[in-house]
Amino acid sequence: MSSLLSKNENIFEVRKLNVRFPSHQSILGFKTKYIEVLNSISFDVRTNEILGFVGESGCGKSTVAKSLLGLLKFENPYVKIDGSLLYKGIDGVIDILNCSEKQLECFRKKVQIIFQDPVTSLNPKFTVDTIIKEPMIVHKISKGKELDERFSFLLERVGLNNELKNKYPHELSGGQKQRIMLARALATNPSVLIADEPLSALDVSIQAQILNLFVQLQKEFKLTIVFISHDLSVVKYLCDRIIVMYLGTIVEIAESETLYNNGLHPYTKGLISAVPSLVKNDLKKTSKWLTGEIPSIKDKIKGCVFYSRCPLKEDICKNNIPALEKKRSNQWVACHLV
Amino acid sequence: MKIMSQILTSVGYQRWLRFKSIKRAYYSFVIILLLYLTSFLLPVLVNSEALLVKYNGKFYFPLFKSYKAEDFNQYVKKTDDSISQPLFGKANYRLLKKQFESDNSGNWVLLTLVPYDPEENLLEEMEGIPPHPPSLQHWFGTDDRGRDVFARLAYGFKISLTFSLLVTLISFIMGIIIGGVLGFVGGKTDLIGVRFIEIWSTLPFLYIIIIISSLIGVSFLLMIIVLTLFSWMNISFYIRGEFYREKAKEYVLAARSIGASKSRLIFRHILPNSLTPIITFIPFSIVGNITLLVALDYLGFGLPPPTPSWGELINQGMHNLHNWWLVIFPLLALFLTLLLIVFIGEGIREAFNPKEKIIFQ
Amino acid sequence: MMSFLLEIKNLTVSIQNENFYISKGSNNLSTNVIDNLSLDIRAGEIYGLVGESGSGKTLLALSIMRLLSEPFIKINSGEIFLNGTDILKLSYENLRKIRGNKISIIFQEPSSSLNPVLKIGTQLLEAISPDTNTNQDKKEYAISLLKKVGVPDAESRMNYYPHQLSGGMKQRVMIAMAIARKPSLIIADEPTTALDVTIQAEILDLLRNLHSEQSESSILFITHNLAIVNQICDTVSVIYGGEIMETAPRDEFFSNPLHPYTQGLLNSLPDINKSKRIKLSPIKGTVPPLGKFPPGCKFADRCEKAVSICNKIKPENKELQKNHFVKCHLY
Repeated sequence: MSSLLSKNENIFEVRKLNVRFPSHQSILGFKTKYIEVLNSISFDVRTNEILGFVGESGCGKSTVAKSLLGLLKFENPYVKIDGSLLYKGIDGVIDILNCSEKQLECFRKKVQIIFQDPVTSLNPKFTVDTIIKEPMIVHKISKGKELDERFSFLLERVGLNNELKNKYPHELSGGQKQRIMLARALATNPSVLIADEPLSALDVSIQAQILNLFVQLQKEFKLTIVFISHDLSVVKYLCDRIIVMYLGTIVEIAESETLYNNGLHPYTKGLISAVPSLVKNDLKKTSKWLTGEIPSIKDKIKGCVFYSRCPLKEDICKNNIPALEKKRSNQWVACHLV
Repeated sequence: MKIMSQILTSVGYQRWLRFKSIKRAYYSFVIILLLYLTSFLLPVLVNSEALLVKYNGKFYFPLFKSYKAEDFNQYVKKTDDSISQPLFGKANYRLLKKQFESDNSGNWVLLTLVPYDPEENLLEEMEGIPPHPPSLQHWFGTDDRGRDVFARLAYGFKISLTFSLLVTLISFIMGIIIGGVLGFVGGKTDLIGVRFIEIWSTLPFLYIIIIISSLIGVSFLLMIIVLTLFSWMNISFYIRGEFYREKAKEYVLAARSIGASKSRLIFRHILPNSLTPIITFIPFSIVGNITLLVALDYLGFGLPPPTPSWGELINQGMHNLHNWWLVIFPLLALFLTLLLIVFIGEGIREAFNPKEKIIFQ
Repeated sequence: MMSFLLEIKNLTVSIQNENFYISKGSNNLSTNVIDNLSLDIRAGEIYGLVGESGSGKTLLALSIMRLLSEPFIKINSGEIFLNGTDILKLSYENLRKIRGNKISIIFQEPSSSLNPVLKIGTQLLEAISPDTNTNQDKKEYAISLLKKVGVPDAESRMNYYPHQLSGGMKQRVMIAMAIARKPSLIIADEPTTALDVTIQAEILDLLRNLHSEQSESSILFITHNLAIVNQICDTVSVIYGGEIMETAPRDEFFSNPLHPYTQGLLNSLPDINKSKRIKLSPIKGTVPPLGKFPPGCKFADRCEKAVSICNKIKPENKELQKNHFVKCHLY
């Protein structure tokens, strides 16, 4: 059972995951209208890779993060989830959508998350000491002196000083708070780290420090990282493979260099050309490529979700949803015209 | 030491410092606190029992043991020119003091500062008909039954404040528990629970008090119970809202993602963060409850006589407007107490949310 | 010699200490958030001001418009000349005539800058002229403004409420309000930070187009994103700790950055055109909290190339090449 997983084994397998939230709550539960936030998506997370999710607002990437952790029902008890979400850890396979509380407990030790806003993700009444030790206490990993030692070890690993032990979150800077979140996430020795926009709330000069920290920690703790961001430059820099999402659908999956140089989906191309670069001065050509606004997820769209903004659209795109198909080795695209 | 450094930088301590810097609030707080603590010493300060008696070479402590008049061979004169007769029953230390002084027997009595009991009527000792105006012996005069007004005010203070503190405390605890449960569980439970609370709120509390008071009479304990039953609703709505709000915050999600159990989430995460604003409500709730008690006593549906209550005094004042001391002193006492507590409340609010006075230009 | 539209000379803005309730004994009751800052904007250029959070860039924008929350934050000294007139000395009435008219501002969060209970049309008309009589001319002008900024279906959108529009649309409305009276200077404070990347590209394009139509007006573009600055600005300044560290024309700035802070920023950013996982060289340390900057050069405690003089004496602003100014002891 506990064989060493080879580099390309999957640690997560998601098949046709469909997440719907009620758009408004009817009192007696009849005729509730649902919004599809994730539209039957399928993907794998490979062991030891850094997988990036990019997309703009409304694409559902945060929901992906929360569903990988099984936190959706906690946030909104009325959510409807279909499809299959399997975690293939060293100790066996856990079906996240249908597992027992005990299995979920085990799972929680192995998969941790870092949220976007360090200000609201840390309990304002807890000191750094309590914050980092909490996971270890909850899972009964260490006690007493061992707890303190592990605490110091973690703090040092994320580049912080032991002096911060009794400080409260409001006394720390954004970068420090983010490091505390990392330390807390690593406390239970997880296999997978899911980072939901970890850099968005940080200053530019701090982002680089945290990015370096991610690279270093991944090597040291042999982590699989799922990195979610709207910043394509960061994702391209950090990730091995990138999944591009649009309005709850996966439109392309490719390795990062391939995506940038040979992105096939029109949205991918539009996204890449819209990112301003420090090195080249070429934004003039971009905005004409994509037209219109991002539709709201509340509108039910038949056919390809990208239809309204696609410069290449044709009739077939209007009524038929394109499937995610393998176009080259290691590149999947969901488009009729590619 | 670790705890000290934690306290010194915690948000709570900063709020305390801010509160202290608002002079009006801080001094009000100190005054009320001192007065309330002193009110627990009232038996030593305002009491018809003497502190110390020396009689025939021995010391007696009437505060701890009650003595009869015969123990001290006390005599009284009905009027100035009648003959002294031995007094039977409870010793009257004021008269005893005078007796010893005129006796020149070497005995003495040490009385309390204000040697009157709030429930004791002094008709026999005073000339004229009650109510008596203020004098050296009775700083605030006497009421229509010849009881010392100052003593009644002092004990009334303790009763009012203790009553409202208890009601506030218990109703808040009830409200927190009920509101917390509804807020955390949500869903249908919340739906039904809130409906029950709404229905309960519509019960006409005043009538119920009047009915209970008329049928079976009320005691201090019963009053507290009834009032608590009718004042927890506001807090429960508030806490329910806070729970909903905190539950949606990311740090709770983060704690869940670590694997924290539901009870851990409630008690370690959500509850401490929801409680902070409650402190700002407490002074205003206390003010409300004091006023409520005074009003009920005024109407006669409150604490039973002869309990020294401010409402009852004010009631007397209303019927004796020409006896100004019965009107001025109770009203003044009530007004000042409420004023100081309101200052405290404003100070707390400002300490928690310092508002900036922005000048528009 | 081109005339300057806006000249800021030695501006100092200070803020009351947060703990001024509490720490009576402390000596500094106020700290300078903008410290002896000078900058000049020419007519007709897009001027980029780059800085991180806490550098004072938003406060600078507010100071120019005199929108600071006095008495907690106020302008201590300095002059701001708009076409020769010192705005800081204007009376309130005259200041009102300038706001919206000669200088207008676009804020970062379109959701909170628009009044949620008023229709877009009403707010736009208010921006066109503050007095309340609406006539047909004004209405038509408003609709033409909306069309100009790329709002589709302009006439019916006039009756929409802000919450019915997307973020990009709201920002377009804000831009329409800002250009309504054809101001000489438009201050854009992080106008695209809250927007998605594809919408951001559209808004930047819009700004560029509008600017080329009205070539005498200037834009002061405030951002933390150096990449955006590379795309649209003519001149770039970097602000740190309330002081301008370096100013240069755009091409010169990116090809030859002189100040260690600028160099640090450029080296620490992952760029879409750079390859994967080249080790980034972040700037060490963090931005010090207000009041805790080193006494000499504000960047001294984080600078790789600092020498002992840097900690003690403030460097002067030197023009090293044509129009390329740096405040650093290394030069």
